[in-house]
Parts: sequence; C-alpha cells; structure tokens
Amino acid sequence: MKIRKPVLWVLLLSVGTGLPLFSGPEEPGEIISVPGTADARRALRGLDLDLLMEQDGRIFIVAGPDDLLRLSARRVPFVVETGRFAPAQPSEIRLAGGINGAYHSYKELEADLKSLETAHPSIVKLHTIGASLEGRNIYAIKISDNVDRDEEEAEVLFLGCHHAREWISVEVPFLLARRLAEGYEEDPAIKELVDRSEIWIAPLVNPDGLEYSINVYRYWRKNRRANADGTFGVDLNRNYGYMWGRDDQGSSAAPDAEDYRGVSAFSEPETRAVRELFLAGNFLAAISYHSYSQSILYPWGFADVPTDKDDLLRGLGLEMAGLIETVNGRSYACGRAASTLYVTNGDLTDWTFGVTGIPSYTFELPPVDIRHGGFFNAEDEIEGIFRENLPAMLRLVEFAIQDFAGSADNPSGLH
Amino acid sequence: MSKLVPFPAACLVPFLLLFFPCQARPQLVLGQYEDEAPVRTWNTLGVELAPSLACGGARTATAWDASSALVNPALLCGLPKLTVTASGSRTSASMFRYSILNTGVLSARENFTEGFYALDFGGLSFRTGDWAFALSAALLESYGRPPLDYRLNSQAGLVYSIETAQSGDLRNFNLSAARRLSRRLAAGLGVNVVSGRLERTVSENFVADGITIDDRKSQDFKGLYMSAGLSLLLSERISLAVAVRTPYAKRSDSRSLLEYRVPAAGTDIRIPASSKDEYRQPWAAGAGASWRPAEDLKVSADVWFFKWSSYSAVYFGEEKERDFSDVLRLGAGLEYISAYRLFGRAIRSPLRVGISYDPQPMKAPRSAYAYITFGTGVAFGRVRVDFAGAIGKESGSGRSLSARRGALTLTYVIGD
Repeated sequence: MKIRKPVLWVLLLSVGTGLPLFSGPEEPGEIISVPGTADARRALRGLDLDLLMEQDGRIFIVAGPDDLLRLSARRVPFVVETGRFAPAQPSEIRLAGGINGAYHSYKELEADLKSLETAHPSIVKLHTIGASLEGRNIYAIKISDNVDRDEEEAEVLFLGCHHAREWISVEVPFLLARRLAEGYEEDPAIKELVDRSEIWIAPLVNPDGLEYSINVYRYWRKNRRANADGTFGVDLNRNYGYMWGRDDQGSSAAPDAEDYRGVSAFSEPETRAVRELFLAGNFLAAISYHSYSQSILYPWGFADVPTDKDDLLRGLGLEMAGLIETVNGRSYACGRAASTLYVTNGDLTDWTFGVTGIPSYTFELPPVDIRHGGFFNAEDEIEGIFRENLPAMLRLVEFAIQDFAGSADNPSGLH
Repeated sequence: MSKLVPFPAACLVPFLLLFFPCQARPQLVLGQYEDEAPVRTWNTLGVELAPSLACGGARTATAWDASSALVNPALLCGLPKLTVTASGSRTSASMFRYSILNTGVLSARENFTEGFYALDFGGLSFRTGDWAFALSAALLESYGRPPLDYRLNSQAGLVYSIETAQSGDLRNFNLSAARRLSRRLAAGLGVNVVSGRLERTVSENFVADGITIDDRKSQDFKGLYMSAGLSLLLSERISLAVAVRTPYAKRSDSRSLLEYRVPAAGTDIRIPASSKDEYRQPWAAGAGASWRPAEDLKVSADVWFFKWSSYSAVYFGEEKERDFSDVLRLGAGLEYISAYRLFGRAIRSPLRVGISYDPQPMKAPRSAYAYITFGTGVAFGRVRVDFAGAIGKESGSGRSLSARRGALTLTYVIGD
C-alpha cells in the first residue's frame, strides 16, 4: 500500500514544527490504524480514505469523524493513533472565558441547545421538561426527522448530570446531540438513524447542583434541596421510584449523606421531570451518564441478582464496551450495577428497567479511578471521551430501531 | 492678600498612609451574602467617620470633615478653611451562611463573628473664597469572610481537610470641588475612583489517596463614579441638602484556577479561566436636614434611596441571579456640644447619639439592621478627637445577626 506523499509531507511538517495537524476546531481528524488483514482491506475499499502508511501489519489512515462512523458501520476495528503523532511541544493551555473552562454551565448549555435548535430546526426541537428547585429549566432535546410530530418510531433516551460534580456527563450527551444534528445532512449513517428513531437527550438533569459545583464547591453531588434539618441536597439518582429506599446500603435516609434518597420517591422536581418525559414516550433504550470508573452498568442495582433479561443486557453492554475499546483502546468494565460498582436503590436505570423492561445502562465515564482524576477530567479529554463513546451510543440507537422493527413480528420480544 | 497658614507636616503622615489602606486582620461575616457582598451592609455610602457614625450616619446636610465629599460635596463650603483628617475603625458582624458554610458542605449551629481593624480614611479639605476642595482616600468596602478550616482525623492521623478563605477590599479615591453660589446655596461635585481586589480559595485534601483539590479565584476591581450635591441654608438654624451618587460599573479582571493533583499518580488537571466582568452598582440619592434648636445642640437626619433593583453582577462571563429590591436607608442623630476648661485650656466636647435603619436589598430573606449609635470627643485648639460606636441588630433572616462598628477620628482644623 502506498503512502500518499502530500499527506506524509503534511504529517512530517506537523511533527517537525509542532503545528496542529488538522484545522477546524469543531471536528478535528484523527490518525487511526486498522489491521492489515484481507478482510479489513476489503472493507476499506470504496471508502476513499486518506491512507497514510503501513507499518507492523497495520494500516494507518487519516480519518475524519464521518470516516470513523463508516468504519464502525462496516465493523472494522480501529485504534486511534493520533497521540503517537502529537506535536513535539504541547500547546499552551487555553484560557476559556467561563469559570469552568470548556465545560458547560447551565446558561452556556441553554444557549448551545437553543443554537442547535435554531441551526437545525427540521430535526432538532428543544423541550423544557420541568424546572429545578431553584427555577432553572430542565431541557431535553429531541432529534428526529419530522421532529414536531410524535411518530411511530423507536425512542431512545440519553441523560446526563444527575450528579453535579460529574461535569463530563453533561458533555458526552450534549456532544451526541451536536454530532447528530450536524452530521445529519452529510453522513448517511447518521441520517438513517435519525430518520428511523426519536432520540431524546437531556444533558443536565441537575442544573442547580451543577451551578453550585461550578461556583461554590467543586465536589458537590446532590441537588439543592434545603432539607428540614438544615442540610442540603437529595441524591437524584437515589430518588426514582423503583425499589426506592429498599435498604440503607443502596441509599441513605440521612439528609446529610451524599446518597440521601429524599423524603419519598420522586420527591424532587428534577426526577419528576425525567419521569414525565419517560412515561410520555415509548422508550426502547436508555443510558444515564455518570463518572467515574469506566464501566457500563445494567440492572439490577438494588441487589446482586440477575434480571430476566440478563443475557440481553450483558450482551449488548459487552458489545458497547467493545465498540468503545476499538476507538482508543480504553477498556470499560461491564456488569450488573450491584456487583460491578456498588448497591444502589432508587436509581434511574433500575426504575426505567423496572417499569418498562427496556435495556437501561449507567455509563460511568473515565477516568478509571480517583487517582487519575476522579470527578475531574482535563478539558482536552472531553472530545476524546465523547468520541470513544459515540459508537456505543449509535449502537444503542440502532438496537432500539431493530427492536422496534422486530417488535411487531415478535410479540415476545422486549415489549 | 490672604496670609498662608502653616500646618504641621506631620499631619500629612496618616493621610499618606491611607493611600495604602490595609486591614489589620482581613476576615468577616454576614449571613445571606454573596461573595461580592460588602461586610456589614450593601448600602455603601462613603465612609462613616466617628462624628457621622455617632449621629446615625446622618451626614447629607451636616459636615464635620473631608469625608463629606463622598456623600455631599456641597458641604465642603461649610467646613473650616482647612481640615486634615485621619480615621480608623473596627468593624464586626456576624454571619450564618456564606460560601461553603451552611450551604451544604460545612454546617454550624451558631453564627460566625469576626471583625477587622482598618485605617479607613485619610483626607483634607481647604476653602478659599467661594470655592472649597477636598482630596481623600478611603476604604469603602471589605469582602473578608471568616476563614474555615475543617479537619477529620482518625487514629492514624489526618484523613481529610478542607479550608476556605476570602479576603478583599475596595478603596475610594476622591477629588471634589464645591462653590458657594450665594450666601445660602452651595453646590459640589466629586470624582471618585475605586480600586480593589477580592480573593477566594477552597482547598481540599484527601490524605489517604494523596489528592489535593484547589479552587482559587481572584478579581481586581476598578471603577469611576461621581458624587454631587446641593446645600441650602434655610435660616441660621435650618439647612437642607440633597445629594446623588451616580451608578457605575465596578469592572473586574477575574481569574480562576481549579486544580486536581495526585502527585503519586502523576495527575495534575488544571482548569484555568479568565474573564472581564462587571458589577453594575446602583445610583443612590439622598436628602438631609439639619436643625439647630439651640446654640449647642444640633439635630441631623438623612434618608437615602438605593436603586438596587438595577444591580447586576456578571461573574466569569455569566450574569448571576441577584433578586434585589430598592432600599430606603434612614438615619438621624443629635449632637450636643459642651464647653469647659481643663488645665486652663478651653475644651469643647460633643455628645452624640443616633439611630439608623439599614434594610438590605435581598428580597429573600428580607433583612434589615437597626442601629443605636453614640459617640463623644474632645476639641482643643486645632485638634479634634472623636470616638463613636454603632451597635446593630438584624431582623428578617431568622439568625439574629449583629453588626458593630467603632471609629476613632482625628482632625486637624485651621480657620473657622
């Protein structure tokens, strides 16, 4: 396989001068490698990729975001190698305007969601599904063709930031919304998914908590409920109605505890907003984003017992973990929530699975442990974490579409 | 040709010092206050030196020294030919809720009370013909808060700690001119430049994992506003005055650094930020009256309106919610001058008492301070020494907050 000389020159120039390889701040390309097998070579045909070189049995390619999706669609495993070709001198840290750097505050997110709706009115509609205790709107963005109509299509739900300090959990679902909206016209794979489904994304379930985390105390977790004993906050991810308050191991009855479950199930307006959205739709799959630990968790969380769909949940979860790993080699554990992380009761995914039986996952985003950042991620990790999760997100949408299509012929299926 | 009157150069020393106003121990108080809230009151109006503090803060129609220029520059025409003033104070207040205290992270059952000493005013005024001028430096606001230091220990030693600190102040540099327009009427105008700084840190340490989280924010303030006023002598015994302070933008150069470090794991995550921010300070207008029912007795009263509903705070690029309503601040005081001889020298000694009512702008909780004020002093020859105290109790927050201020003012006077 030949190396394209102009590309090689650009690469060498970039490495030599420390200049960024690609321009365009929104969608930078990546250098990836794929196995040099005959199957992979066949799959690459017709994709019109910028092939860079072949080394140690792997083919190196300059790939844009659309190329990555096409490779995923053709089931070609790839590894992002951009880091190996990083500029010799690290670039200076950018001083962002906001106090939370490149992360979204409530107002920034509100503005970006509105911009997304304005820029793509035919496929994006912003909904206010409720208001927080302090009066901030809780937004959910719907992405679909004929977005103003409630069509008979598979619905998928992505949620972020139940826990205030998990800033990365806002970014990943938001970037999914942006990717779907901006890729709709250009990427046939995205268009097909959007046309055949209704994708709902609520990136910020806990806006009050996020604002407190940004402005006062970075490690704040709960919402901003003023509890009767003078303490603050209810853990929103212990406030849902399935097995709520089952025991004091999976949540706490103490208002000052980090996992305080509230005075009753759905006592908080934020969880009620999610409940109303969920019950009004016909969702076939859901992911709730959290951090940290790099794991994909599925029900049950309230006890270490399998659901009656354990094989399905595990198989789909492992498949998504595999897709994530192919992007940059980062491994996500996959397992039942109670045994893989810890026992939780009253969390979102137990509730969504408990009331509808749909595949429901908690994604614990990077880093893997507290020593490597805990609830902190460097600003320049945001895009990479999103990219590694994108194939899994799209896979879940695809699954919901397949399930929806099959449900008519298969009454014994999920629904 | 008028004769120039010499005065001791030593009088300038405290004045010069005050161009570097400092707090002996920056810290403080107050309950329902945001980070940018000044200590004790939002309703900053110049600085209360001992004579005006003792008279319930009523100083729109009554002047004692060059600090009048910050409230009503027209009063400069009523001052002696030359005044040089230096003043120090101690301010304290109690607070229940601020930063991470009683907002969810650290809890306390009782109010936290702290105070600070400050050399908070230095200025001079002089009068020539129908004109009068003043130049001064003042410590206008303090943003200090009581530092918090929580440590959790186990038998093996320190497990966890969290510390917070906030300090800062705003200084005011004033240049004013006033002119007597007629025998009864005077007008004045002042230019005020403000400059200050606010720093806040929260540091957290998880000892077992070797994790340190630091959140540091700093803001450098600058601003410019005008003060203006009219003074009308209705009769030999009664004078009226009105004054206004223009709205202004307190601009801020804001910087922030959030850092997460685990040296053993090579983790050092930094989120830096910078911003040009702005706090839109409201305009304020006031009216005052002064009545001298007897030669040795004077009554002064003030009412000031603060347009807090127009206040806005932009912090790191985002406008913050500040649900404020307009405020009327009231103050009144009485001054009785006794004269006697001590060691053969003529001494005059004022006795002052007053009251004031100082509502705060927050709509929730509604909160207001009621003050009792008092003071005395001695005047011998060209020197005046005044002392004053103010004791305030708050109502509305449910926390029975308190605020106190004491002031000691030294004034050197030449001419009538």
